[in-house]
Amino acid sequence: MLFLPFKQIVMKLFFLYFDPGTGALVVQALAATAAAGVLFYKKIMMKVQSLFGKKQEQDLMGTIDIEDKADGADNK
Amino acid sequence: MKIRLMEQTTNRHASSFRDPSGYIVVKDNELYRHINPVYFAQYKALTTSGFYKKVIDAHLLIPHKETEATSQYIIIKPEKIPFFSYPYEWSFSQYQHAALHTLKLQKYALQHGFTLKDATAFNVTFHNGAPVFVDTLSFDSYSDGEPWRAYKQFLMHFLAPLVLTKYHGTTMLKTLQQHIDGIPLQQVVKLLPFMARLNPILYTNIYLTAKYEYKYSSDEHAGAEKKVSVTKEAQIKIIDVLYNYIKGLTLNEQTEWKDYYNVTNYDAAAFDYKKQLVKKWYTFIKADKVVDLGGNDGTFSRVLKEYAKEILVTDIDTNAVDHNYRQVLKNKEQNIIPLVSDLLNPAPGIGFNNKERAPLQERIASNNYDVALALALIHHISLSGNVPFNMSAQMFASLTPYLIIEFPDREDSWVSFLLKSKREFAGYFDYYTIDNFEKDYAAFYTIIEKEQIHHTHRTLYLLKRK
Repeated sequence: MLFLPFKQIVMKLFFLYFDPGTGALVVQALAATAAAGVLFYKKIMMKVQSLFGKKQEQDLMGTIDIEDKADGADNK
Repeated sequence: MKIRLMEQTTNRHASSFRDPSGYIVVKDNELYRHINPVYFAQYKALTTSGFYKKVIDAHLLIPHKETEATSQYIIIKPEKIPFFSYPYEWSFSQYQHAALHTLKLQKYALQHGFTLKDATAFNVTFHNGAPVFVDTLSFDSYSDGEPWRAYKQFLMHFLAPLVLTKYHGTTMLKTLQQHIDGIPLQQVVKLLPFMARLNPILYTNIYLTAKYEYKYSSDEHAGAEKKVSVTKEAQIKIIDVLYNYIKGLTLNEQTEWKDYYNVTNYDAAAFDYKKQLVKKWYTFIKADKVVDLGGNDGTFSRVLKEYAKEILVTDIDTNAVDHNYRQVLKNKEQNIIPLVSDLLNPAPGIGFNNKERAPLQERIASNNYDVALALALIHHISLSGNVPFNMSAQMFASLTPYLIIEFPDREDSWVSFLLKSKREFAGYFDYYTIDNFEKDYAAFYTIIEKEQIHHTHRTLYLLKRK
């Protein structure tokens, strides 16, 4: 930390105006591995369910993905 | 410069001090966001890349307009949010939706080369019938391999209260009222049942994070700058999994609300008559904005939705509020905000100087609602809460110039039930009569209209504040 250039220290302090927690940063690599497993399992389960034609419930809150409008497209 | 420094302290919004990127100023009842030079680079990147426009068009972020730009500061004016609700006033679905909204925004930001540098639940509120992210300066440029700095904050503000609610009920939705910076994960681990750790999502995101947090907060590692690298794809996987998990959470808690209207004291005709009367008086006083206190799932205020610009419906019962919110989503109702609140204990001012988050009564009063509805409420306030008539009158009068209030007399079955439950102290409540009600309310209000609802022991009043 002592050897960081001044600008970097300032940027760092600015960025960390609250404590992100080192542990919470380190754990993300592990959480991501587990997440990959969960997603894989879910994908298989979805395929199995679709074989049996399971009905989807009404979705009030939408999916995570947002369709990107092409650049310059008319948004109106 | 002197003037600007003065302005920073005098008009600065009491909740706006945590992030050095900028701050909010209130001027002539309008909000302005001042951006400091330290955030200029990010602000310009977010604007010129078209990212701001995209998230605003997708209804993820509150729209804003730039009003002034100098070398010292930039000022933007965000769209006004008339009533700002806080996380501890949300029902389960609202909380869930706000969490999903934050994840959606973070995923979208990552895909466009940005990241959310904070993920507090206070950055989300409900506006136009949906959650919206309000902190325009919460984004930062993303650099490859950088983990999500706001991950822990997201867990403490969103995941933890929702999971605790799943296991312990809706009282856990109020967690942030006590822990304004989010509930500590070590405490969450103590509160969760042993079986919760068998869930791989909870195990990694809550248990392991709590463990690693403890490990790295010990003296041995203090001050160590550990280099951590997480790819963008890996981060998106965590976000996807959290999204699916939170979306799938359900609440298994029965409350008094279930089938409330099936057991109340109305036949269909009286029920409908009451609705028509509310509508008639509402249009008579030419009201624009209404707050429905103890409004259950919004059954009565919903008759006003064609006429009202804004409807705030508060209720103590989180399930009723939840039902209300799901109707808002289903019917795409943009002018209704459901809110969890106990009228006998509304949300107080909390945080720094007790002003960071304003008390509910203050937020209601300052939003200038024209009329308050208090239907089937006074007997609960008076007989369950023991609040004398003059005190409830004073409270209502502090909120709105008009009041539509229903008075059930002693013959009403709810009232007689409440009186009976007082047992030998029932005598203390002999004051509960329509005459005393009118006498005490006359100190604050003039009666404009008064009508007894046929086939019931209830009278409806339209009152005007003196």
